[in-house]
Amino acid sequence: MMSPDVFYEWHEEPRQGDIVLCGVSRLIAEDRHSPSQWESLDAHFLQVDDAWDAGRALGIAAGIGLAMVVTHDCQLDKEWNQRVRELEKGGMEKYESEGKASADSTLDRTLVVSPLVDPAELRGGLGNLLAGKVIGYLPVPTHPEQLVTDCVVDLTYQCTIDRLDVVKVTSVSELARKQLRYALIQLDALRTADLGFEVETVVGRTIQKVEVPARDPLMVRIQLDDGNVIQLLQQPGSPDQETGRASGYFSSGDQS
Amino acid sequence: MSPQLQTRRTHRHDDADVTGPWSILPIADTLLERRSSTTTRIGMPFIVPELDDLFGGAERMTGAASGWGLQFWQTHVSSTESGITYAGTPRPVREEVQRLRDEIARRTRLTRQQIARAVGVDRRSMSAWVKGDATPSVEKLERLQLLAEVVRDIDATEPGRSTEVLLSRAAGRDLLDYIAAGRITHAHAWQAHQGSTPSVTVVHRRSTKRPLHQNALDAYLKGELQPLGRTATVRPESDYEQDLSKAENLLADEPVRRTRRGYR
Repeated sequence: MMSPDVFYEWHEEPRQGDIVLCGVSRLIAEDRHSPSQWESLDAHFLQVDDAWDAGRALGIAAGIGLAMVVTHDCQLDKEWNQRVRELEKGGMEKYESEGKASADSTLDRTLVVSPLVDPAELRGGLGNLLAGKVIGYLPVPTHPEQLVTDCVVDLTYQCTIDRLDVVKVTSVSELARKQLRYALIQLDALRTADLGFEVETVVGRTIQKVEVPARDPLMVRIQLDDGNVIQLLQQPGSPDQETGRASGYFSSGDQS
Repeated sequence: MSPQLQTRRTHRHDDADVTGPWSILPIADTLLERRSSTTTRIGMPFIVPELDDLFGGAERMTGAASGWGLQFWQTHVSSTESGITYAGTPRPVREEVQRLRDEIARRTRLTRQQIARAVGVDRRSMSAWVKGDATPSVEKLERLQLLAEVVRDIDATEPGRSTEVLLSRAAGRDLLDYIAAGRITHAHAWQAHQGSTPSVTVVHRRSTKRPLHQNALDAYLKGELQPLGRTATVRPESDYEQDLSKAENLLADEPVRRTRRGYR
């Protein structure tokens, strides 16, 4: 886990990685299953009878908690910045266009957050969780003013909230934000995100770009920082029964 | 009859759609004329096949037509001791549709698509009525009028809740569906419909442990933490991977073609 000095860094403006106090909720089944790590978050259960119009109810568990903003910076004020630029292009002064955009309460209302939970309630081992070794959880050290105690961000629980009902508690450093992004990639997009780093280690260069040409989807082109390109070509062959892919999926081609 | 007014019979309209005493015609004839040289058209879209219908009163009318016709008279014609006098300039159908549609939109958060759904048409048809490119049938105009009446009624009884009430569902249908189906009685009895909306049960649970957020909540209650609010951050355009001005163009209809490999 990072030390609090490195992890926390105050920034006035809203950013990805901010820790906020807010309401969080999730949809639940009728048996109101509530895992122990979400016990304090599941403080209220709402059941809307016959919400399905077919005799089935809709269940919601909601509560107040600490959460980390996972929305990317660019998404946070995207509409606001877009409106400011439109107004400026229309000949309006900068301060005036910013004021007008700020007065529009419909812009960028939502944030996506993940709650902070007690790692003692989770599986995977306390040490592993606090070391950031468990996919889906980002360790958070104790805040210097005790506003946050040792815990993990539970990235498996994400909910969309309104920014007008959020209290900012603290913000984090660029290094901590990088850890968050990596954890998000690992959870949602690429479980083996380190594979790319391993390829870089093997070839001794940094990968700058990877592409699959639209006209040749069997080819993968990896562009390195020295300008060389590695082409990976799928071996032609009859697909197997289960995956439709031939065995020996990739073979390395010539460097060009 | 007022000495100031002279009625002129019109020919019974032989349109198959004309079934009641009140009918809407794309081109209405003059119904009443002043004795002076000024000719006043009243109820532009209306025609009264029989003069008795005109002076017989609303009690002869039935169903939605009576309510609508009555309101029309209240709007455009008033009675005096000497008889009927002209009270206002009637609106053509397209203006009436626009007025009703805009009133409904102003009083609710219904989209134009939802308003059109209540009338039983699509959004483009309603736009065509407003532009004058097409004329609604009596039935469709009655439904729009009915929707406006229900909206006014809800607004007067439970201000600010009209959208919620109109879209509340019972047995899989909302009030707009009932209006579209011409269920006038059901639409007017919107309170009963609302009563059948799903009930909500709330159960509170107290955590036995001190919650993680307690310190932060205490700091907030002491006024040490502030709401995030609306404060936005100016970011240079280069921050965005996507050219924002072009992004909207990308969102416009991109032709979706199905190929042998799937959609592209």
